[in-house]
Amino acid sequence: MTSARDGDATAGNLRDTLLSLAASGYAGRSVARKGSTSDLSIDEALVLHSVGWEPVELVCGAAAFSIPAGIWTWSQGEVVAASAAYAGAMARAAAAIQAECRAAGGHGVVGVRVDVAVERHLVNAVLVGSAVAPGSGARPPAMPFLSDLSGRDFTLLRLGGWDPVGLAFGASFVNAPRRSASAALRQSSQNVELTNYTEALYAARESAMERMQAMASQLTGQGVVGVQVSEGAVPFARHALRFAAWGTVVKSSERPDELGPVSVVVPLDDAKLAFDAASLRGG
Amino acid sequence: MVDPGGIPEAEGAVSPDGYQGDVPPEAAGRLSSPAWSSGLSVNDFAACAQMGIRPVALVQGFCVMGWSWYGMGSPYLYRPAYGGAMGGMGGFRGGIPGTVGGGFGAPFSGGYQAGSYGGQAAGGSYGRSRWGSTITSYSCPHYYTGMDHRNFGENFEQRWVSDAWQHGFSTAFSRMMEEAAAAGAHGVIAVVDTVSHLIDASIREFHVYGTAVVVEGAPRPPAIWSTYLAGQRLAKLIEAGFMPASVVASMASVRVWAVCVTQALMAGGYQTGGFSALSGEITQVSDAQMQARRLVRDHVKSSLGGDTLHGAALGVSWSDVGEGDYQVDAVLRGTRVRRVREADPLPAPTLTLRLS
Repeated sequence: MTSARDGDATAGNLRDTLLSLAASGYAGRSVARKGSTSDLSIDEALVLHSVGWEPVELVCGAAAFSIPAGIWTWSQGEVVAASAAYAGAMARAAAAIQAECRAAGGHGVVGVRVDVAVERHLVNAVLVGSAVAPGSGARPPAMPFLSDLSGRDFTLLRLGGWDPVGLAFGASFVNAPRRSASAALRQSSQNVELTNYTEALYAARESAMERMQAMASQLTGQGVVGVQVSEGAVPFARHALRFAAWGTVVKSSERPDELGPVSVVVPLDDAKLAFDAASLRGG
Repeated sequence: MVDPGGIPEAEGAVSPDGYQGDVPPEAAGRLSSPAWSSGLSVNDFAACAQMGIRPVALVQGFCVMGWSWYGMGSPYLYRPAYGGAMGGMGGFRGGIPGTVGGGFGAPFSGGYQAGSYGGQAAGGSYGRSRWGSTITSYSCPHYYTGMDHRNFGENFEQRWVSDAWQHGFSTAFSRMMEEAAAAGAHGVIAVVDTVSHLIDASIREFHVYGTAVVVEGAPRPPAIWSTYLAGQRLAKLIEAGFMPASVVASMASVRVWAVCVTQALMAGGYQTGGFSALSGEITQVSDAQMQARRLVRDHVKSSLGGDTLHGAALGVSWSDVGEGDYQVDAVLRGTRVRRVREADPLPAPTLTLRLS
């Protein structure tokens, strides 16, 4: 997706623009929304602006849930209390970031970063993103949307006739089934599949994905885009595996598809972004 | 708070050859030499040249601070309530503020009342403004209270910590801006700041550097502007109708002094004293996580003066300090930008298929 203005209208004139601004001492203009904050990149802000949306406020939601003692001992099936703590922390964090968005007058939050830390007795879920609103000043909805998509993806989705409605997530912690003594002995000196761990991963995957999709339906969405998964070992329990998935729930809107025909371009510049402010900041 | 008001005014800034500030003489000599240095990448350098922005010097500021959670006028040094806390974290147990000299019965409503310490204050008054203030307080829901039972807990804004951070950052930043003034700059772009431990954990180094630039043919601005951006991103910002005013950064530190329930939940719900197992949300920690982020955002917002914060970068770290106690530190950086002209929105995007 590109939004371009030709060279004559920008770079050639930017020198003159800057000179005229400097001549006026960079005098400020009045703005509709004073003191707004956002973590969007300038590209994202510009592309949102091109479809009439503006950043409002940097918002966050955080929640910590306790994982009861004793549940990491090796038993069978799902580690239910850990999965519940994860779900609880994410749900509370989502509610908190939505409340912040509502308070700031936003219609939704884009670019939500999902950061979940799982410790032996604690799940800490943190969501941070930029609340956005249409410049038209329309009344914000009672339930703002959440999306982990970038400003660019949000714009593309909307132009394609889809709306983000929320963040769906699901997680599962599963005990690997015990091996029989003979299987353990047989496998100890061979490079063979450890079927108990494979099975545990599949079990965790299925519950987590099912929970995420159930949540998408609950949010009245049609599907989940940009699903991210995180799976692997639980550092403090050798026999347990985890699987978590999250993504943005979308549903089609009544608006027509505004994307139009696709044009093909062969870029002659670097595919990589030339400048990244964060990379300059160093440690 | 880094306040653009603290940036040397161009009128007040002396020309490089007559500079009388505390920029080291060697640096002043280097800054006034015809050769220049810049921290810009070639891409950014080229984009800036296209806009008529010319680098004049790579400018830097340093500030090295002694760094201790229990020094620097922290209340731990003075409060008998913390068991003379130099003994370490163990000193906190049973020594939550409010349990000394005050009754257990009175929950906190508006933070500390100096009188509630019954005159046991060793370090003078417990002013809210000096070290920080209670954000929220929590009381024990149990009927039984033993000597080592945590009857009260609170989330406390450790302002002496954020003040020290702010001092280190602002000092390094204004030293960089002094160099920029000495170099005759109009602005400083591609600012990079690092806050790191120097030698060991008790010394913290604040280092801010950037490329001082002039806008060719333009008069010196009323105040030197600064931004984390450079090159094409700076060009796009200006194209979008904004002008950077200043780099802003702030820090907030929230300390959780756990109430009994928090302490138990942080240990997996195991509770001594015959109470049943607990599970669910650890409200005090959830609150602290939110409070640190909100505080740092409010700090920064209070310095915006109606301008916009662009490209915010929020960094948060937390640590479990034992016995259910917890600390959350948040740093928020970004560029304060001002709308200086109305800019037409870009044409609505079109789909392109890249063959790269």
